[in-house]
Amino acid sequence: MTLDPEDNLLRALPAHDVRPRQREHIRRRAHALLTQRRMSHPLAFRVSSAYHRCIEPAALVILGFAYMAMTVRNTLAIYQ
Amino acid sequence: MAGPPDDEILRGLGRGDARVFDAVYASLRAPLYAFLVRLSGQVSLAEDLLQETWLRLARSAPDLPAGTQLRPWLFTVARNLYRSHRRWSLLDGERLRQFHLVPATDSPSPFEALASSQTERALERAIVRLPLEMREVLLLCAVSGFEPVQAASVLGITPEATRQRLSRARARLRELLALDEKALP
Repeated sequence: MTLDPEDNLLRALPAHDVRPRQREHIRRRAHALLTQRRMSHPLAFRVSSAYHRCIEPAALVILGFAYMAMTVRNTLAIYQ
Repeated sequence: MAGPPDDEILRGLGRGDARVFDAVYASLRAPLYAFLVRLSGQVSLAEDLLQETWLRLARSAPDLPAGTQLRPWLFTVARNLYRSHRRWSLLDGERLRQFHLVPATDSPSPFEALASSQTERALERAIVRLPLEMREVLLLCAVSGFEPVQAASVLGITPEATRQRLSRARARLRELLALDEKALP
């Protein structure tokens, strides 16, 4: 993107920050939401979630390859 | 923004990791706030919208798809929140006009008072006087440094339309600055 002469001046405009009190208020409210999420995810749910996200897909892929290998081997056996 | 890739940040937020939030918050809070103040022209509204934007991130992080880029996502949410607020305000404005209670609209930029030079003051004055569509694209591309392709995704338009709007915004900005004779050195 080519820059116009004013772009350097615009890019140099300061990013004034929000008032400290408001800054802290937003941070605390966001933390409260994040804490709520941590508390609502007990260990059993995390384990189950890891199983569904990682182990199950991996098992399906391995079974798929095994089936393909078996099919190829059986097909080759016809011609031997 | 230097630091871990956005996917790693989203996973951290999804786990409820407050330290990850604090790092993103520290990095993007001021640019996002400045965008909202210049977009809306009102500090109190910008503060409310800023809060809502960050709370949406805290709530939505686990549901965001992998590959989501945080900075454009945050600016998209902030911009859409302002647009929604403005739509409702205009409806209220219509009701107020019916009762002859039209509020003042020609307010100076909140950052004008904080400007450290004549040039900066002139730019802040000109930005707040731009039509909304031009102001949005100028703030995203020329001030916040988004490439037109990224700004296009924030605005929900094509990159070509973004470039055209940016070109018109720059032309209009120059006109406004020329009207303010003391603007540029």
